[in-house]
Amino acid sequence: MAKLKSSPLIALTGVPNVGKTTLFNKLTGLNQKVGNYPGVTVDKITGRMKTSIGSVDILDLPGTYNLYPRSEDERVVFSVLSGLEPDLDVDAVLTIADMSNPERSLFLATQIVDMGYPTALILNMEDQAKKEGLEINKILLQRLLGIPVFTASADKGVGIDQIRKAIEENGFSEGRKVVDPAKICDESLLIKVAGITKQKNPYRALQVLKFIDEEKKIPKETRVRLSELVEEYNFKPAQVQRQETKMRYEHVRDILSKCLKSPEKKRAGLTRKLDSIFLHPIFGFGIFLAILFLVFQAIFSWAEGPMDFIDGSFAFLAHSVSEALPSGALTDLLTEGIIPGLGGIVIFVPQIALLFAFLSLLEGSGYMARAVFITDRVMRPFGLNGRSVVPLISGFACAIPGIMAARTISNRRDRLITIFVTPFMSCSARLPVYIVLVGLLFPDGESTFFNSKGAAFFGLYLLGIAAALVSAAGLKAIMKNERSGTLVLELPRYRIPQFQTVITTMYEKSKTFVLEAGKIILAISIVLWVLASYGPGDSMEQAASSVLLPKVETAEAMSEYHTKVASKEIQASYAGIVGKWVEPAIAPLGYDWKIGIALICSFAAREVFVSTMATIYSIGADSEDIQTLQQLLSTETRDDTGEPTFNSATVWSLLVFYAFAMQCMSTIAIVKRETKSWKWPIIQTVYMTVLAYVSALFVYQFLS
Amino acid sequence: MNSITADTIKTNQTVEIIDLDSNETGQRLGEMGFWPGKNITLLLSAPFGDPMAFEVDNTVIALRKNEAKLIKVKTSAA
Repeated sequence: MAKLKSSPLIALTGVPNVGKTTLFNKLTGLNQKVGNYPGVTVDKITGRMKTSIGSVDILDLPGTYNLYPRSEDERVVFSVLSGLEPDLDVDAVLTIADMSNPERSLFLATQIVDMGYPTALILNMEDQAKKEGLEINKILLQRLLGIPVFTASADKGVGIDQIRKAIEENGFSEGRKVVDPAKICDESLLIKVAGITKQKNPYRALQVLKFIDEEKKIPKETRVRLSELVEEYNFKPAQVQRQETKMRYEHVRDILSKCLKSPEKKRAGLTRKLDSIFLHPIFGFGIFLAILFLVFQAIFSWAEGPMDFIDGSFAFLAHSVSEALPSGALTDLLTEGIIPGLGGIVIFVPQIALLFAFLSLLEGSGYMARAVFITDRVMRPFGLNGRSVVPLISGFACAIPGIMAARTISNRRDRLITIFVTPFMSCSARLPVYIVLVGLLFPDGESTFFNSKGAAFFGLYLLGIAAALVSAAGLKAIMKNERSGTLVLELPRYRIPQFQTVITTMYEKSKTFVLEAGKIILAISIVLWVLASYGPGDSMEQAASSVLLPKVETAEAMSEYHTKVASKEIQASYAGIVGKWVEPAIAPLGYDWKIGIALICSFAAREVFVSTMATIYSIGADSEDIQTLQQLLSTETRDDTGEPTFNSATVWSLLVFYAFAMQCMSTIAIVKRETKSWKWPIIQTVYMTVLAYVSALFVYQFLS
Repeated sequence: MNSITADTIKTNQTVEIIDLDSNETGQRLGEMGFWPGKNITLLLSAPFGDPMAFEVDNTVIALRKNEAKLIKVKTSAA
């Protein structure tokens, strides 16, 4: 049937670890688009391949071992290939197999053939198979499956041209069906199901029927009718499923016994040797910690240079714009709201790019599965699993890339718990807050023997870890009903990571963050800017005029004048009003309304606490002089009692508050993006804020 | 009767699978290649003996003890 369609859509499938992403990148380059499948968190990755006869769209489906919708990845593959995704009409399927272990790959390939798709099979990693002495009779395999078979070593670029050509010439064919659904299920039932669901062939009808309880994409009334049929025919999904698996496996093994020649003796290869080191009960753990330390260092310190550069560039941009444009509300919005807001988004890019470069290296080399393997048991009591380790450790630098990295956790419950607790890890944005406050606690120099500042920092980090683990364990208890995780994890062969894949991952992750989380962050920063720059009526003007212009307008005197005005203005602004308004609520924590303003403003990002305090205490808006701030704060007294505001009880209370509170709109934005709903970020923010409040209250009341 | 479950075998021991639990995880293991009649070898275990890495066919698959329990195996005479 001739279809009016811009370009054909080819789906790329394969079991995990067969080099599917490498091949996808080789075929499409950076011509990729990341989107969403409705209702799930799996990325929809499509790429466009240019050919001599026009372009072809390639859909990179997640790696799965079969077409049964149990995990989120599998659900996506299932629903796309069952035609349940509205905009994705797959024309042909390219399925990739690991040549040195073809059995599981063929299991998947025969399912696709049974679904009736024009298919082609790629036996990838031919070089590896050859090295192992494995031979496949390609021509015979082609005949037995009834589909074209290609060999390739995608990571070395071997065989790619052949695959391109096949795609160009539409070299796919429908193949020989393996499982006859009529043999495991009543045929008249399948005909009825196919009629109701409009599935093209009986196997697809059977697939949908088996998983009506799993598949929410099917309209409700259809599901009701199918359930009636299930009842009427006494259809037993699990039993049918088992029969099908058995038939399919027997068939696949039969095919392989005819065309696969495996070596007599198995080699204890390089992978085995490396595993005896990397998975060693003691050294293995040491190596793992060393790698984590390196990653942590990278996001923490290597990103610093680029981050300072971005910070400086945006400050410069804001400054230049304010010089160039006439002064007014619009210019202020641009220079104090939008540009810093954008800067606040872009500043995370170096950390995100670096973390994902490392993750991509670890994943591509095959080490990631090992890291999961050795840490799984330790993390389990907390409702986490081996895959949670990397997000949590990344959280020490920044929660955002950590939360994005939680995507590798396939179990829903474990993934949500990981996302939920990652912001408790003391990130780098807490550091400036800690430095100012801890400095207030221990103003004197360090003793050579024991450093109280260091101990306080260490304690704050431990506090974060403890909060994360305790909260995780609590969530685990609450989310009992969720399907508990299993770990069926392939430990792939070690391989040299693909440079192109690393670059693509860095680029795609940064882009996703800027575009998707960026919108929310920008919106919140504009709201906060309005709160801090406007006040009711003419209160702002009054505040400004309450400061006397210096008699002699020297540069120094003027700058002092401006900082005083800024201080008065923020106190008169809506933010100041809210600060005073919340004072009764935060007074039990030992805070006055000025701290209240800083708390509200630093909801955008924790480090804003420092600059807001600097503005309120008027030490110059762009002063980074922490010592000046500390001096001012230490002499600050309460309006009512005249006692020092920042006594140790208040400072400890603030430290604990910042250790626990969410206070980061970028994290909220990314949690929303990663969980695809506002439910989780809201619960998380409320929980963290309540925990912060209660803990700070306890600390203050105990110490004062 | 020398039928045991896979979580009890020793490192480097090779056994033959004789049966799988019929629950969903068991089925999944079957689809991953743990199929009756096949030989599996325990290559190594993580600290605390859990998870365990089995060689099946030409690949290494890690399972938690709880999952390995679902696999009934018999020790070969050799």
